Amino acid sequence: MRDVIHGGLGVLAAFIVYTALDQISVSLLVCINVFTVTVILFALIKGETGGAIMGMACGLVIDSFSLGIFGLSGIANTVTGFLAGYISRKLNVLPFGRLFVFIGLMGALDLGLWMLMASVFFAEGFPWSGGFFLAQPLFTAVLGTFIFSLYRRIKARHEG
Amino acid sequence: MPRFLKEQKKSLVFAGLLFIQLVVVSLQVPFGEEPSHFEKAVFFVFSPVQRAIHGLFHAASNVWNRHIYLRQVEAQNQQLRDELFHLQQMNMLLTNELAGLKVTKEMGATLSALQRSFLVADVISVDAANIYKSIIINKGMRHGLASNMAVVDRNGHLVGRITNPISLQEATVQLLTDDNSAVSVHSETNKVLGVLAGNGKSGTCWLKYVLATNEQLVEGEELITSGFDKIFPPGIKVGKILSIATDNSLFKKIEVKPYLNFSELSHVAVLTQKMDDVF
Repeated sequence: MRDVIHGGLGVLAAFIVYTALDQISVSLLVCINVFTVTVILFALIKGETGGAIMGMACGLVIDSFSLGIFGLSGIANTVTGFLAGYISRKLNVLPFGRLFVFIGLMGALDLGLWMLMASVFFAEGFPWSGGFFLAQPLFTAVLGTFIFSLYRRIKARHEG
Repeated sequence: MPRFLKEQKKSLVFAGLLFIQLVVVSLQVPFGEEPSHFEKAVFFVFSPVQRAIHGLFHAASNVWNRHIYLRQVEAQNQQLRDELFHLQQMNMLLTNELAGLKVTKEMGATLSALQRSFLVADVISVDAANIYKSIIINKGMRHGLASNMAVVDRNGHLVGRITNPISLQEATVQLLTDDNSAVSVHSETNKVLGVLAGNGKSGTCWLKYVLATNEQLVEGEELITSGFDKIFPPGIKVGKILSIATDNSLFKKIEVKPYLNFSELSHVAVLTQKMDDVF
């Protein structure tokens, strides 16, 4: 039950941050995908099942506020969440450098999956914005690493 | 539960989630453009959150402008006064023109109908997956909005149309830069007819179905709505032709730069009545 509440709060927090970024500048939304960051972080904390469920929830929220194919982002984020949780259980991704690379790769996987399905299966366009769009994995890595490091410090202090 | 299933529980959950979403994607085929009940429900639940965040930012911006950054307020005030004066002059001229065409009683009714024919709304969010597809505005069914109402920006240029999902206080606007958008337009000078479809990638549009043999269109020519699609009223400015190219196909490849400016898209007007009903 606690995991469900945490998951719900996570989706809500991601949605609030996404809306806040939109108020600041639309360009921020092109390069920062807060939902992907949330899914990867949840997968790191709760494992592959939690990551997959969180991916589905975040993806369906994205699709509800998009005129694209409903379910497309859901599938991409579900796969990303599951793989992020699975790989983080098999490999030690906690060192700062590895964490940065890992989150960046997961962000790139999410973006790549979405682009592949959108263009190959559904012939949908995506907002290149002069290539700025492709910087998403980098910003995902920066933001995700920062937030996860902060979470670990707070958790260590709480437990200590 | 069999041991095998227990060991593979996580993989089964993952496969189950993927299957559910593939079913959701497949179910859209009979629905077409119409969103599913689940999509509408999520929109209904989360759109008030967007509205609240927009309201918070708006309030913070007001505090900053009204109490801290007063210089900007004074400059804006002067600009608004100038615009108001200009609009008042135009209003007077148009009213005089109308008086010559209609008797006073009819004119009063026409002006009242004109005032009710559009609704101003704030843009509270853009499309979560592709910023060129749609925006969310802070007016909905409670304000009389319905699907296929035309939406224009502050300068009267076409922005798009209202589409589902629409909640009580929020609505989705499909932008004309969406690759699924289609607007019937013609060139202002030669009335060459075509269909304007969004690019979906870079904020520009394509003017489709203009024959390759057509020599009337030139770069820089303005396009306006024709009204033939029965959705967008005729005469609304849409954009200008950026480039014209010819390849081996039957039609020209014409790129159009719409007047829609994302950086200035904070307020829009929804045309709630057809102009034929007003005039």
